[in-house]
Amino acid sequence: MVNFTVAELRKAMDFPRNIRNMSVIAHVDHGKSTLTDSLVCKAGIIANEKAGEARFTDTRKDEQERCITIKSTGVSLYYELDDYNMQFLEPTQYHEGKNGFLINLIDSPGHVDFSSEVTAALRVTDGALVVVDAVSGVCVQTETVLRQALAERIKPVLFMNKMDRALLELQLDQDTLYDTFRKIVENINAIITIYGAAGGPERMVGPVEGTVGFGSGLHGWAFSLKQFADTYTKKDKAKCDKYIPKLWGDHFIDEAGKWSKKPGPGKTRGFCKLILDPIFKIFNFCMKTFEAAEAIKFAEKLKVEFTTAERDLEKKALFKIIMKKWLPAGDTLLEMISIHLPSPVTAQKYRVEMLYEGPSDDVFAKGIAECDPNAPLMMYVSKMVPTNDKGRFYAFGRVFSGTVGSGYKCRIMGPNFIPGKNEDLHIKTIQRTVLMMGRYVEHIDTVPAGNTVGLVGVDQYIVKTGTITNESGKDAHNMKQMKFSVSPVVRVAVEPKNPQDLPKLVEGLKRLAKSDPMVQCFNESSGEHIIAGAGELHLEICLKDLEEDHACIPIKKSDPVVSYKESITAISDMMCLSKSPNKHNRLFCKAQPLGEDFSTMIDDGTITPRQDAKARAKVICDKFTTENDELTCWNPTDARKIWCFGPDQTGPNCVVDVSKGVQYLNEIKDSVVAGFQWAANEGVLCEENMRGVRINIHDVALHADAIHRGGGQIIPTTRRVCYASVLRADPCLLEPVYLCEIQCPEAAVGGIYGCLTKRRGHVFSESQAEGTPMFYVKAHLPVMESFGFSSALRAATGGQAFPQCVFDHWAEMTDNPMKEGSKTHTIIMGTRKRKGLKIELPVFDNYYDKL
Amino acid sequence: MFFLFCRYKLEEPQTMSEEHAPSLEEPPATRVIANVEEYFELESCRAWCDDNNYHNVALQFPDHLLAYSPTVYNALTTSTTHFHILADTNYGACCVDEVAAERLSTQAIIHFGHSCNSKVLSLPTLFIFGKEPVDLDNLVQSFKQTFTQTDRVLVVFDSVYYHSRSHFISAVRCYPNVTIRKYSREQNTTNSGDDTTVDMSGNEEYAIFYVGTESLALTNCILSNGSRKVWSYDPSSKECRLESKSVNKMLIKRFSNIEKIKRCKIIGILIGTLGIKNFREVIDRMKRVIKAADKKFYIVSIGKPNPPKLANFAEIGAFVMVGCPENSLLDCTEFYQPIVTPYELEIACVDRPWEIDYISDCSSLLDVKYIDIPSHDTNSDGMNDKAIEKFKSLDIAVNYLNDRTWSGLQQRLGEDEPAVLKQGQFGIAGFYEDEPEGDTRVKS
Repeated sequence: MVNFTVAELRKAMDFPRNIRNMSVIAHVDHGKSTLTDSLVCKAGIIANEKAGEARFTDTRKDEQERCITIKSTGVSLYYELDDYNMQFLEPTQYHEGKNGFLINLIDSPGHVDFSSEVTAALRVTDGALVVVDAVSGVCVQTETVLRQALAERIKPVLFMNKMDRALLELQLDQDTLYDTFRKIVENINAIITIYGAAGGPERMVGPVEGTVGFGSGLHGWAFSLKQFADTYTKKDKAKCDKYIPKLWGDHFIDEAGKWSKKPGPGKTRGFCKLILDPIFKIFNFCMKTFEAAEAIKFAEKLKVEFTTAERDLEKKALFKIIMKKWLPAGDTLLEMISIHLPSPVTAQKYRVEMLYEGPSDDVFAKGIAECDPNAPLMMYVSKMVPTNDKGRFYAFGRVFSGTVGSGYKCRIMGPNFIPGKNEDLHIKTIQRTVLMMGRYVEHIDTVPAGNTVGLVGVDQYIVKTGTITNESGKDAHNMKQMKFSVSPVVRVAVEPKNPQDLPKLVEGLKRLAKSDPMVQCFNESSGEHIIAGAGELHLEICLKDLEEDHACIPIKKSDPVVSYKESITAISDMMCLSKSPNKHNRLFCKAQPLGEDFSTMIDDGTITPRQDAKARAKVICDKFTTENDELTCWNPTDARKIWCFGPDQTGPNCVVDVSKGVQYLNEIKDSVVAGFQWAANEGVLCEENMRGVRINIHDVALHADAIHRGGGQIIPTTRRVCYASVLRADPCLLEPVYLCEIQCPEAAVGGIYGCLTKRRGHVFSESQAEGTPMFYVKAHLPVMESFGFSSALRAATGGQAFPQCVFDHWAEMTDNPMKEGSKTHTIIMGTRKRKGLKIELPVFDNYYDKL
Repeated sequence: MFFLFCRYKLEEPQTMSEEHAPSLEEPPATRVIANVEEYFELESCRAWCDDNNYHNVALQFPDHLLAYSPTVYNALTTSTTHFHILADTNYGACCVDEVAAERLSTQAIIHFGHSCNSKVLSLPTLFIFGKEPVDLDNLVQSFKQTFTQTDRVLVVFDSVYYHSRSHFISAVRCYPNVTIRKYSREQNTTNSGDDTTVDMSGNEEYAIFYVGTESLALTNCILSNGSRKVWSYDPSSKECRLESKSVNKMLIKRFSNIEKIKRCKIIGILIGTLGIKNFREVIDRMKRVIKAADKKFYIVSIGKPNPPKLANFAEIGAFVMVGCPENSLLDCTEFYQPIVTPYELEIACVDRPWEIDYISDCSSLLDVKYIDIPSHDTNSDGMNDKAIEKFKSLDIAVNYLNDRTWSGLQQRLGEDEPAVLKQGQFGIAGFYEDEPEGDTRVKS
């Protein structure tokens, strides 16, 4: 622990090159929080009396009880590199004469249901410590979070955790262990190659480069190749640089100490001989041959000093203490972080184009690129953190440019803000700025660019995220919104037990929406309050928070239900006509499927409503040609005449004007757009969102007088013609499907298959972790079937299998929704009933008018 | 001979498909009325006219009873008294259409059919609810099955079943705590109707027994008694059921509209009545409430609202309906924008506390003085604030216009040749000076 006053800390903030903003990301149970603890113990800046509490960053009671992290938590560390290590730094990575580093670390949750917390954490950091369990290897969530990190242009370093398990439980030999490590590094690099977009920093990890560490967070030891090289070369940088490559890969050393690149008799791999061998020796002394004295003797050679009490230790405890003293995890990791992760000054240069929506040459973009504390303020609020004061929140985020402080007047721009307009804009004074340190906050006057900060007194004006600039920032654009990798596909309806509490519930829901980056709270057309989350666990936590913290009233909740999407599988088989209520306006339309590829491109922002129409048309025409698919192809003229997307102007459906020479057509565009948003939001089958539907306007007949073709006539007509077109285009329902990864011993695999088959799941990959009896089964599982899946799986496998489910894609339900008794039909009727609609299929004639 | 006064709606005649038809009033099952004389209590009509010495009286019929209007007219007309038939009322048929009556300068109105019993402005009115048949034995039996002798019960008859009350009272005499809500049969200017609400204060806990078919009146009754148990008895199906189960759902739905109001910037004040006492005060209050919440308002008068009419005002985010209690509670699923009651608007805009006993009678809102609504002239530096206010509301309207992709005909400034000014015609529209002499239509 470092004892630091706020004033000292504030001083450190002024040297952005000596700052590292980083997050710890990993699969669930790979040991993030434990590892973070060891870092906090080494270098945490906290009040002394709190030191030593386990799982420092798990601030909530339920987090401590469940031993999982739910919310991401920030903590600051301070670490000084010695002069020798300073030689390894790039000149832009430190200020001359300063060898102390301020590390702002964010511990993030590993459970897939809380991925959105990770996204929010990644936004405000420049580097990530990717923790991988050396025994289980790269898992589904490792991939998910790493992918997000890459999308945010974050530089990763890798840490192989749980080496103690590899030694103790699996008793792997040296070569197998090396292979395991090599494989993990390869897997990680494979992900980086696939998802790492061009333009960012060098992101491949490698032990030789120093960006891979090994060790055990639980036992508190860790090493990198550099550390061994340091010892062998007695801290000579030039020699060390040459020596490190020999410690990894195909470099073999024989008895005489001669190096060669080919294996052969009497030759041992450098990594095994020089690194694993000493570790295995200590391990053998302690755990196999039980020669404590030998172990201590060997350790003393490695310059480990013992206290009298420690000399009496035996077995595991002794092994632990030797390793901890020999290779302290804190130093290794902090060294790795300080040397290899970018400072804000370095990182913001290449991140600015991903961060800022505005032109890359305005004063704000420049300020961000330079990380200039004197430039106009640009701060992104990535999440809201509840305060002790119920119902109030700290707005937590990062200052990318300029300086923010207590009493500053600032402009708060929400996600819908458009420069030059007043929508979603508030001008308010910041009451206080605070530092967020684990469970505690410290008041601080100002915070310059490159640091994270919490703001007090602006929470009413921010829904979930926002951009904050100061008064001079009138021309500033927003900072880009975060893209979440998971979708809120599971929902419950809530209502107060006592109707009198309705306002409290609504207030509570607003707070809940604020406190969680992803959860969605909304009203259905029936007025029901819906909470949508990523998975069962996520919802469970949200409901608990709602009941206990946010609304503080007893609530009734429905069983979880799934969000569906309404789609089509063919082009409308006839031209659909709807007449306006006054019969003087006619819309002729057809529906056409967009295809899942197109919908995905809208989802991930390759095709957006804000794009320039021509640029967008090019992207579309290149990808969707006649050769690929007759059904979903686009021609260039149509691609330029996309009127809008929907629902909410951004969704995966669109209206295209394919008509020719229609008079007054532009005049009704706004009304058509409004009607389409309505239809896309509440589809015809059961008022779920539409997905992958393209409405082509073929012809329009309008009344000559403007008053008779106003919104009142066109909006409902558009809605009806959309419904009619969809009904003639083989409508179908899309259901969300999880990617489900199950880890279990071989014996339990049979149980998994049985359980999955019963629930319409299908396995597409099965593999065994090298050198372990553990099997990894990957399957697609409909979200609808996932309720109670964990417990069913546990029952079927004697508690040996653990699933991790993350939303993967929307899948078409293949049976005919129009046929009574089919599964889809049942779902539609169930949904209609829940929403208080007529329990019957929509009738085409209600939406179609004859000529 | 009779004179049918019927106003046509201003919008185009339209045959609405099922989807569009808003269920403003659910007409009772059409049934042939055998004895018009008795059903419409014609004797009391005559007596009322004679007693008050009215010579010129309007007869107002709802649509479903319009077929009987000639019979009634013929039966009532005498040599001394003239009658006029009013039909197709501008707003709900349950309200008295005073404006139409005033146009014919009648002295009084006889209102036939279901009535919401709102207080009228000025004209003396006689309400003839009509006598729908009730199976009294079945009703009493249902009542006795539902309640014990000690229960406190308020019995509310739908106006068309009100005639059976006296029989009902005698049948349930053994229930000491039963009260019946009274309707006023006639209203006149001097005595503006006796109080229709029954004072049950002091009786904290009581249940409500509603006699009538499913209608807006029942919905209104359920909502305004959200905290009490409401049973309903439907005389046509002879079914008795507890309605309070659905009240939670209803309230949730209404409340979600309140949330929507908070988010929108322009609110339309929808005029749903011209005949209720105090409606001007209510509209005035709504204006102040909306202003207090920093929103802009438009006043919209379009008769009976339907989705196409309201969707023409695309810039308006929500409507508040100022009408009689029954017409205010619109089910707005088919509408493009939510429609709320004045009470709900006050909850959304000026933090009026939400109570689950709905106040649907808008004029009773006026009684509440405790809500702090700034009136126009209390500003210290009035001018300045007013200027800002004006600018603000202008801003919203301009923004809306700018956001539209089509905002009127293109000016094409600088692109087209300017037209040359020419001397136009001179004179009055009926005869321009340069018109040929032959046309002498007006000249004479």
